Amino acid sequence: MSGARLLLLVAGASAGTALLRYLPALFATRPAHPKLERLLQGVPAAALGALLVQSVPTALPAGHLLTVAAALSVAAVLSLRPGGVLLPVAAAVAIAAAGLFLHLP
Amino acid sequence: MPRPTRIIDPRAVPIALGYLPVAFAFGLAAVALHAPAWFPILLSVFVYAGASQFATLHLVATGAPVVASVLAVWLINLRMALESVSFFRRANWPQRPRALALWLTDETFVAASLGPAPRPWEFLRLAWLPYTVWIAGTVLGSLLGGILPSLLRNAFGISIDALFVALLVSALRQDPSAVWSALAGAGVALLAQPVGGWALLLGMVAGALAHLLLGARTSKEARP
Repeated sequence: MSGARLLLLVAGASAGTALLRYLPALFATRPAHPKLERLLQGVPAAALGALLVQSVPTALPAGHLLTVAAALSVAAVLSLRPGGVLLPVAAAVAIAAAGLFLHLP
Repeated sequence: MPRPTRIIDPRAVPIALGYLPVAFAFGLAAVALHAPAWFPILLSVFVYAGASQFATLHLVATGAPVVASVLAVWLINLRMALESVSFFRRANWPQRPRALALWLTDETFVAASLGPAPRPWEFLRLAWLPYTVWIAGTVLGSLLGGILPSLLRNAFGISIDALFVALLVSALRQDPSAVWSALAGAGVALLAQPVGGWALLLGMVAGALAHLLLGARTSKEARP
Protein backbone atom coordinates (compact mmCIF):
# COMPACT_ATOMS: atom_id res chain seq x y z
CA MET A 1 0.00 0.00 0.00
CA SER A 2 1.37 3.44 -0.94
CA GLY A 3 2.24 6.13 1.61
CA ALA A 4 -0.77 8.26 0.61
CA ARG A 5 -3.16 5.31 1.10
CA LEU A 6 -1.63 4.49 4.48
CA LEU A 7 -2.08 8.13 5.49
CA LEU A 8 -5.70 8.02 4.33
CA LEU A 9 -6.20 4.84 6.36
CA VAL A 10 -4.76 6.49 9.50
CA ALA A 11 -6.97 9.57 8.97
CA GLY A 12 -10.17 7.55 8.49
CA ALA A 13 -9.49 5.16 11.35
CA SER A 14 -8.54 7.88 13.81
CA ALA A 15 -11.43 10.22 12.88
CA GLY A 16 -14.01 7.45 13.29
CA THR A 17 -12.54 6.20 16.57
CA ALA A 18 -12.37 9.76 17.95
CA LEU A 19 -16.05 10.29 17.09
CA LEU A 20 -17.01 6.97 18.69
CA ARG A 21 -15.32 8.09 21.90
CA TYR A 22 -16.23 11.79 21.92
CA LEU A 23 -19.81 12.08 20.60
CA PRO A 24 -21.36 9.79 23.25
CA ALA A 25 -19.41 11.73 25.89
CA LEU A 26 -21.00 14.98 24.68
CA PHE A 27 -24.56 13.64 24.68
CA ALA A 28 -24.33 11.54 27.85
CA THR A 29 -25.69 14.40 30.00
CA ARG A 30 -29.33 14.05 28.93
CA PRO A 31 -31.58 12.29 31.45
CA ALA A 32 -32.25 8.69 30.53
CA HIS A 33 -34.89 6.13 31.46
CA PRO A 34 -34.09 4.41 34.81
CA LYS A 35 -33.83 1.05 33.05
CA LEU A 36 -31.25 2.49 30.64
CA GLU A 37 -29.34 3.91 33.62
CA ARG A 38 -29.31 0.47 35.24
CA LEU A 39 -28.22 -1.10 31.96
CA LEU A 40 -25.30 1.32 31.67
CA GLN A 41 -24.29 0.70 35.30
CA GLY A 42 -23.65 -2.93 34.39
CA VAL A 43 -21.23 -2.10 31.58
CA PRO A 44 -17.99 -1.75 33.64
CA ALA A 45 -18.25 -5.14 35.40
CA ALA A 46 -19.34 -6.74 32.10
CA ALA A 47 -16.33 -5.24 30.32
CA LEU A 48 -14.09 -6.50 33.11
CA GLY A 49 -15.38 -10.07 32.77
CA ALA A 50 -15.14 -9.99 28.97
CA LEU A 51 -11.62 -8.52 29.00
CA LEU A 52 -10.44 -11.14 31.48
CA VAL A 53 -11.50 -14.13 29.39
CA GLN A 54 -10.12 -12.48 26.26
CA SER A 55 -6.70 -11.58 27.61
CA VAL A 56 -5.81 -14.29 30.13
CA PRO A 57 -5.22 -17.05 27.55
CA THR A 58 -2.69 -14.83 25.77
CA ALA A 59 -1.07 -13.41 28.92
CA LEU A 60 1.75 -15.95 28.90
CA PRO A 61 3.00 -18.36 26.22
CA ALA A 62 1.14 -21.67 25.94
CA GLY A 63 2.13 -24.31 28.46
CA HIS A 64 2.22 -22.00 31.48
CA LEU A 65 -1.35 -22.46 32.66
CA LEU A 66 -0.39 -23.24 36.28
CA THR A 67 1.90 -20.21 36.40
CA VAL A 68 -0.93 -17.97 35.16
CA ALA A 69 -3.38 -19.50 37.63
CA ALA A 70 -0.94 -19.12 40.53
CA ALA A 71 -0.12 -15.52 39.61
CA LEU A 72 -3.76 -14.46 39.28
CA SER A 73 -4.82 -16.36 42.42
CA VAL A 74 -2.18 -14.56 44.47
CA ALA A 75 -3.33 -11.26 42.94
CA ALA A 76 -6.94 -12.07 43.91
CA VAL A 77 -6.01 -12.99 47.50
CA LEU A 78 -3.85 -9.88 47.93
CA SER A 79 -6.72 -7.75 46.53
CA LEU A 80 -8.88 -8.76 49.50
CA ARG A 81 -6.77 -6.59 51.78
CA PRO A 82 -7.48 -2.87 51.76
CA GLY A 83 -5.00 -0.78 49.83
CA GLY A 84 -3.89 -0.21 46.27
CA VAL A 85 -3.57 -2.51 43.31
CA LEU A 86 0.20 -2.27 42.96
CA LEU A 87 1.08 -5.06 45.42
CA PRO A 88 -1.24 -7.67 43.82
CA VAL A 89 0.00 -6.74 40.35
CA ALA A 90 3.69 -6.72 41.36
CA ALA A 91 3.26 -10.14 43.01
CA ALA A 92 1.58 -11.56 39.88
CA VAL A 93 4.32 -10.21 37.60
CA ALA A 94 7.03 -11.62 39.91
CA ILE A 95 5.38 -15.06 39.95
CA ALA A 96 4.97 -14.99 36.15
CA ALA A 97 8.62 -14.00 35.66
CA ALA A 98 9.79 -16.72 38.07
CA GLY A 99 7.57 -19.31 36.39
CA LEU A 100 8.89 -18.44 32.95
CA PHE A 101 12.49 -18.33 34.15
CA LEU A 102 12.18 -21.76 35.81
CA HIS A 103 10.14 -23.15 32.88
CA LEU A 104 7.25 -24.09 35.20
CA PRO A 105 4.05 -25.38 33.56
CA MET B 1 -11.17 19.99 48.22
CA PRO B 2 -7.40 20.14 47.49
CA ARG B 3 -6.22 18.50 44.31
CA PRO B 4 -4.25 15.29 44.73
CA THR B 5 -0.51 15.85 44.68
CA ARG B 6 0.49 12.57 43.03
CA ILE B 7 0.65 12.93 39.27
CA ILE B 8 0.21 9.20 38.62
CA ASP B 9 -2.74 7.12 39.76
CA PRO B 10 -1.26 3.84 41.10
CA ARG B 11 -3.69 1.90 38.87
CA ALA B 12 -2.01 3.48 35.83
CA VAL B 13 1.26 1.62 36.48
CA PRO B 14 0.04 -1.96 35.82
CA ILE B 15 -1.93 -0.73 32.80
CA ALA B 16 1.21 0.93 31.41
CA LEU B 17 3.32 -2.16 32.19
CA GLY B 18 0.83 -4.29 30.30
CA TYR B 19 0.70 -1.87 27.36
CA LEU B 20 4.48 -1.74 26.90
CA PRO B 21 5.07 -5.24 25.44
CA VAL B 22 1.87 -5.07 23.34
CA ALA B 23 2.84 -1.69 21.86
CA PHE B 24 6.36 -2.99 21.33
CA ALA B 25 5.02 -6.04 19.50
CA PHE B 26 2.76 -3.78 17.43
CA GLY B 27 5.70 -1.64 16.31
CA LEU B 28 7.70 -4.78 15.51
CA ALA B 29 4.84 -6.33 13.54
CA ALA B 30 4.38 -3.17 11.47
CA VAL B 31 8.05 -3.01 10.55
CA ALA B 32 8.02 -6.73 9.74
CA LEU B 33 5.29 -5.94 7.17
CA HIS B 34 7.67 -3.36 5.61
CA ALA B 35 5.33 -0.51 6.57
CA PRO B 36 7.09 2.84 7.08
CA ALA B 37 7.97 3.55 10.75
CA TRP B 38 5.58 6.54 10.87
CA PHE B 39 2.56 4.35 10.11
CA PRO B 40 2.35 2.38 13.41
CA ILE B 41 3.39 5.47 15.37
CA LEU B 42 0.57 7.60 13.87
CA LEU B 43 -1.91 4.78 14.52
CA SER B 44 -0.83 4.62 18.17
CA VAL B 45 -1.02 8.41 18.58
CA PHE B 46 -4.39 8.95 16.90
CA VAL B 47 -6.30 5.64 17.12
CA TYR B 48 -4.95 4.36 20.48
CA ALA B 49 -6.91 1.10 20.44
CA GLY B 50 -4.82 -2.07 20.39
CA ALA B 51 -7.15 -4.63 18.81
CA SER B 52 -8.13 -2.39 15.91
CA GLN B 53 -4.51 -1.36 15.33
CA PHE B 54 -3.41 -4.99 14.97
CA ALA B 55 -6.42 -5.61 12.72
CA THR B 56 -5.32 -2.66 10.56
CA LEU B 57 -1.90 -4.27 10.10
CA HIS B 58 -3.58 -7.54 9.10
CA LEU B 59 -5.81 -5.71 6.59
CA VAL B 60 -2.85 -3.82 5.11
CA ALA B 61 -0.92 -7.08 4.80
CA THR B 62 -3.80 -8.76 2.98
CA GLY B 63 -4.20 -5.81 0.61
CA ALA B 64 -7.73 -4.85 1.74
CA PRO B 65 -9.12 -1.60 0.28
CA VAL B 66 -8.75 1.54 2.43
CA VAL B 67 -12.52 2.01 2.84
CA ALA B 68 -13.01 -1.60 4.02
CA SER B 69 -10.11 -1.27 6.46
CA VAL B 70 -11.48 1.99 7.90
CA LEU B 71 -14.95 0.45 8.32
CA ALA B 72 -13.43 -2.58 10.04
CA VAL B 73 -11.64 -0.32 12.53
CA TRP B 74 -14.89 1.54 13.29
CA LEU B 75 -16.77 -1.73 13.87
CA ILE B 76 -14.06 -3.12 16.16
CA ASN B 77 -14.06 0.14 18.15
CA LEU B 78 -17.86 0.40 18.37
CA ARG B 79 -17.70 -0.72 22.00
CA MET B 80 -15.96 2.55 22.85
CA ALA B 81 -19.23 4.42 22.26
CA LEU B 82 -20.87 2.21 24.90
CA GLU B 83 -17.94 2.73 27.29
CA SER B 84 -18.05 6.47 26.70
CA VAL B 85 -21.80 6.74 27.41
CA SER B 86 -21.49 4.57 30.52
CA PHE B 87 -18.51 6.51 31.87
CA PHE B 88 -19.70 10.06 31.18
CA ARG B 89 -23.21 9.52 32.51
CA ARG B 90 -21.61 8.74 35.87
CA ALA B 91 -18.85 11.33 35.64
CA ASN B 92 -21.14 14.29 34.85
CA TRP B 93 -18.26 16.59 33.82
CA PRO B 94 -18.53 20.01 32.14
CA GLN B 95 -18.32 19.99 28.34
CA ARG B 96 -14.65 20.92 27.82
CA PRO B 97 -12.95 18.13 29.84
CA ARG B 98 -15.10 15.60 28.00
CA ALA B 99 -12.40 15.74 25.31
CA LEU B 100 -10.50 13.38 27.65
CA ALA B 101 -12.82 10.71 26.20
CA LEU B 102 -10.13 10.37 23.53
CA TRP B 103 -7.98 8.65 26.18
CA LEU B 104 -10.70 6.19 27.14
CA THR B 105 -9.53 2.63 26.50
CA ASP B 106 -10.98 -0.68 27.73
CA GLU B 107 -8.52 -0.69 30.61
CA THR B 108 -8.75 2.97 31.69
CA PHE B 109 -12.55 2.75 31.36
CA VAL B 110 -12.75 -0.25 33.68
CA ALA B 111 -10.29 1.22 36.19
CA ALA B 112 -12.07 4.60 36.21
CA SER B 113 -15.59 3.19 36.32
CA LEU B 114 -15.26 1.03 39.43
CA GLY B 115 -15.50 3.07 42.62
CA PRO B 116 -16.47 6.74 42.90
CA ALA B 117 -16.80 8.68 39.64
CA PRO B 118 -13.46 10.42 38.99
CA ARG B 119 -13.11 14.15 38.37
CA PRO B 120 -11.30 15.25 35.19
CA TRP B 121 -7.86 15.64 36.78
CA GLU B 122 -8.27 12.28 38.51
CA PHE B 123 -8.96 10.64 35.15
CA LEU B 124 -5.98 12.52 33.71
CA ARG B 125 -3.76 11.04 36.45
CA LEU B 126 -4.95 7.59 35.39
CA ALA B 127 -4.83 8.04 31.62
CA TRP B 128 -1.67 9.97 30.70
CA LEU B 129 0.89 7.29 31.61
CA PRO B 130 -0.69 4.38 29.65
CA TYR B 131 -1.08 6.67 26.59
CA THR B 132 2.54 7.82 26.81
CA VAL B 133 3.83 4.27 27.28
CA TRP B 134 1.65 3.03 24.39
CA ILE B 135 3.27 5.53 22.02
CA ALA B 136 6.77 5.02 23.47
CA GLY B 137 6.42 1.23 23.13
CA THR B 138 5.32 1.57 19.50
CA VAL B 139 8.24 3.89 18.71
CA LEU B 140 10.72 1.53 20.38
CA GLY B 141 9.24 -1.53 18.67
CA SER B 142 9.26 0.03 15.22
CA LEU B 143 12.72 1.57 15.53
CA LEU B 144 14.71 -0.80 17.75
CA GLY B 145 13.22 -4.25 17.27
CA GLY B 146 13.61 -7.08 19.76
CA ILE B 147 15.70 -5.46 22.48
CA LEU B 148 13.27 -6.12 25.35
CA PRO B 149 13.93 -9.71 26.53
CA SER B 150 11.04 -12.05 25.76
CA LEU B 151 10.90 -13.20 29.41
CA LEU B 152 10.18 -9.62 30.55
CA ARG B 153 7.71 -9.04 27.69
CA ASN B 154 5.74 -12.13 28.70
CA ALA B 155 5.90 -11.44 32.44
CA PHE B 156 4.66 -7.85 31.96
CA GLY B 157 1.83 -9.22 29.84
CA ILE B 158 0.11 -10.57 32.94
CA SER B 159 0.07 -7.23 34.76
CA ILE B 160 -3.18 -6.05 33.10
CA ASP B 161 -4.90 -9.35 33.94
CA ALA B 162 -3.74 -9.07 37.55
CA LEU B 163 -5.15 -5.53 37.60
CA PHE B 164 -8.48 -6.82 36.23
CA VAL B 165 -8.59 -9.49 38.96
CA ALA B 166 -7.81 -6.90 41.65
CA LEU B 167 -10.50 -4.53 40.29
CA LEU B 168 -13.02 -7.38 40.04
CA VAL B 169 -12.46 -8.43 43.66
CA SER B 170 -12.82 -4.82 44.74
CA ALA B 171 -16.01 -4.34 42.65
CA LEU B 172 -17.60 -7.51 44.03
CA ARG B 173 -16.87 -6.40 47.59
CA GLN B 174 -18.63 -3.09 46.94
CA ASP B 175 -21.58 -4.48 44.95
CA PRO B 176 -22.10 -8.28 44.97
CA SER B 177 -24.74 -7.99 42.22
CA ALA B 178 -21.89 -7.03 39.82
CA VAL B 179 -21.07 -10.74 39.70
CA TRP B 180 -23.93 -11.27 37.20
CA SER B 181 -22.56 -8.65 34.82
CA ALA B 182 -19.04 -10.03 35.10
CA LEU B 183 -20.15 -13.66 34.57
CA ALA B 184 -22.43 -12.83 31.63
CA GLY B 185 -19.75 -10.59 30.07
CA ALA B 186 -17.11 -13.31 30.45
CA GLY B 187 -19.38 -16.12 29.24
CA VAL B 188 -20.62 -14.37 26.12
CA ALA B 189 -17.15 -13.03 25.26
CA LEU B 190 -15.83 -16.57 25.54
CA LEU B 191 -18.59 -18.04 23.35
CA ALA B 192 -18.21 -15.23 20.82
CA GLN B 193 -14.44 -15.72 20.35
CA PRO B 194 -14.94 -16.93 16.74
CA VAL B 195 -16.37 -13.52 15.75
CA GLY B 196 -13.12 -11.79 16.75
CA GLY B 197 -13.43 -8.06 17.39
CA TRP B 198 -17.16 -8.31 18.15
CA ALA B 199 -16.67 -10.60 21.17
CA LEU B 200 -15.91 -7.80 23.63
CA LEU B 201 -18.87 -5.67 22.50
CA LEU B 202 -21.24 -8.65 22.70
CA GLY B 203 -19.91 -9.52 26.16
CA MET B 204 -20.47 -5.95 27.36
CA VAL B 205 -24.04 -5.86 26.04
CA ALA B 206 -24.83 -9.26 27.62
CA GLY B 207 -23.31 -8.21 30.95
CA ALA B 208 -25.28 -4.95 30.96
CA LEU B 209 -28.52 -6.86 30.25
CA ALA B 210 -27.71 -9.30 33.06
CA HIS B 211 -27.22 -6.36 35.42
CA LEU B 212 -30.58 -4.95 34.35
CA LEU B 213 -32.42 -8.26 34.91
CA LEU B 214 -30.56 -10.21 37.60
CA GLY B 215 -28.79 -7.34 39.35
CA ALA B 216 -32.10 -5.60 40.02
CA ARG B 217 -33.58 -8.83 41.42
CA THR B 218 -30.57 -9.39 43.69
CA SER B 219 -30.84 -5.83 45.05
CA LYS B 220 -34.55 -6.28 45.81
CA GLU B 221 -33.87 -9.62 47.57
CA ALA B 222 -31.14 -8.00 49.64
CA ARG B 223 -33.55 -5.40 51.05
CA PRO B 224 -34.84 -6.12 54.59
